[in-house]
Amino acid sequence: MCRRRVVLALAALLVVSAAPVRGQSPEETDRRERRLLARAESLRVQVEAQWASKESAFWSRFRPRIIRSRGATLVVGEAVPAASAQRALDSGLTMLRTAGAVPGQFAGRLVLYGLLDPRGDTLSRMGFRGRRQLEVQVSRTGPDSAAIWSISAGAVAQALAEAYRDSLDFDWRHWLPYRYALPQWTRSNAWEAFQELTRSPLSVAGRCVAGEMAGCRLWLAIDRDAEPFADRFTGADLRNRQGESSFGNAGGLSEVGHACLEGSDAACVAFFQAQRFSDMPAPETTRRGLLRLFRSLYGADAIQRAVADTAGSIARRLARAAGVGEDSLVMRWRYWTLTRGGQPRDRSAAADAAPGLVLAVALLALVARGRRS
Amino acid sequence: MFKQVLVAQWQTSKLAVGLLTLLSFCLPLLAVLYGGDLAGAGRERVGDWLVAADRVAQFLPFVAMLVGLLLGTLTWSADLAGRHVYALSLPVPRALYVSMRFGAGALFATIPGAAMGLSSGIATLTVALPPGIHAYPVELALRFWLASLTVFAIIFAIAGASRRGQVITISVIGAAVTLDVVFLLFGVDYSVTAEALLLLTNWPGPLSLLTGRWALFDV
Repeated sequence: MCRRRVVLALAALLVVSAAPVRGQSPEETDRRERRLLARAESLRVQVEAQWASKESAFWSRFRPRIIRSRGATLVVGEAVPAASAQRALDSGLTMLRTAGAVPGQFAGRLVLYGLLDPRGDTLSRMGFRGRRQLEVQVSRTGPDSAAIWSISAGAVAQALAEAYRDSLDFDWRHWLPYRYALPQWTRSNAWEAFQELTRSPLSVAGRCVAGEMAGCRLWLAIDRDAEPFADRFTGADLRNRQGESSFGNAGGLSEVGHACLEGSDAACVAFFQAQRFSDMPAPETTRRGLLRLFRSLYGADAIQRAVADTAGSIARRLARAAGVGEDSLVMRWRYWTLTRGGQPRDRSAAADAAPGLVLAVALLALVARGRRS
Repeated sequence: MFKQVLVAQWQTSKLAVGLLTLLSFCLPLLAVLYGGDLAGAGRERVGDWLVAADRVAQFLPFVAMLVGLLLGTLTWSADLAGRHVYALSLPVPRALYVSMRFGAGALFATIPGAAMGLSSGIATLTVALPPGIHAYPVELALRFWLASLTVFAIIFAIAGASRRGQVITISVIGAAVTLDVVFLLFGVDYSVTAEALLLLTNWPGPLSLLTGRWALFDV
């Protein structure tokens, strides 16, 4: 009994000692938290206001200005000099016209913009609500205090070309290389295309160099192959490719990837399909090369016709636009690539020499009839 | 008569013909210095080899031009030195004399062409080509000979023309260069000489032969 009393007394003592400490009541904690939150909120508002005022000051220097050329519209902040923006738009459109892939009227369907205040809908307020908006890259040079803003013709052309590509059917969207609509093709591009073909480890490249048209067509990926990976690559090609890529790291490989490395061709195809790897053996420069040759042979109009065509494979569209056979086009491309821009031997040496010899005979006749004086 | 002209002309041209023949013989052989067995070689090596053959080919039109240029001027050198006294003393009409001079020069121009044909044949026989690559020894030799003959004929005609003809030729070239300088001073982006060269060297220009494919080994 006595022991029971002692235990009850100790329990009572514990309950008394567990009473709340001063300043830690729930009400008081809430008040402190609210005060802190209010302080944080006021600081946030203050910082945001400062930032907004800075941003307003920044964008006030870039009031929008409208530049027009051949039906195309560019809205650009005033920081970009009008003459420079006009030049960029004019030259960009000229570049596209020279390249031929993008129809002239396409630029009129959208509005290009650059260096505009992103807060609020500037373009809608300017009356461009219904038109598709396309941002053009504006570059900046110089220090903060004296920054120089400019737009390049290449940026205008590239933005329009990318937008046009997005509007095409799947075959073109998939096949057209980056910078497809820029007409520049230098010696180094020709060299690169040559190197890509002669140094590629892929078997279709070897078949193409050896003169097999089917190999060249697979290398260029210009046909609608039923099984792109299986048709254009051998198992060894895919295994090499896997070995070169980061997926070759055994730690990161799936079961299919392991099966591929162990020699299963079907697994390789499945692996690459799953990884969304490009199914085109030929790199970008090679495909740009084909377009470059096509344009130089058949003109910018032909390339525009081909890109607007939606029936059949890429090879068929190009051949139809040029009015030539598919293989003849591929053969010319092979020669052009392997000779780094050489003209095929269409004429014999005698035919080549004929105009010169005719001139020589005419000159000789003049010399023979004349007298020295 | 032709024999005499040939012998006389040989005296002035033999050194040039000898050196040009040697050069024409050696150049095609350079194309195979990279190796002879390409049938089993990797594609990389075939690519390098094609590039080397192309580099050698770049020199060939210049050699053909040199042949035509040297032989064209050397043909008339004896007459110029003798102030045409020998030619005028011969009992033959000028047309026949010019034809004989031309014939002799054309015959000499054939010697470097034949040397090129011979060495191209040797070079072709020494390599085992991979599929897709072809050799063009006959076409190369023919192209070389025709190109040197064309240049020779043009230079021969200019060098053998009357003083009036030569003055007209030089005046036309001088006027084109002067126009270029004037355009340059006024900032006009146009070159008369460049356009003229393009016209001459692009088919059907008379010198288009010089800008075609000269590679002995080609795709």
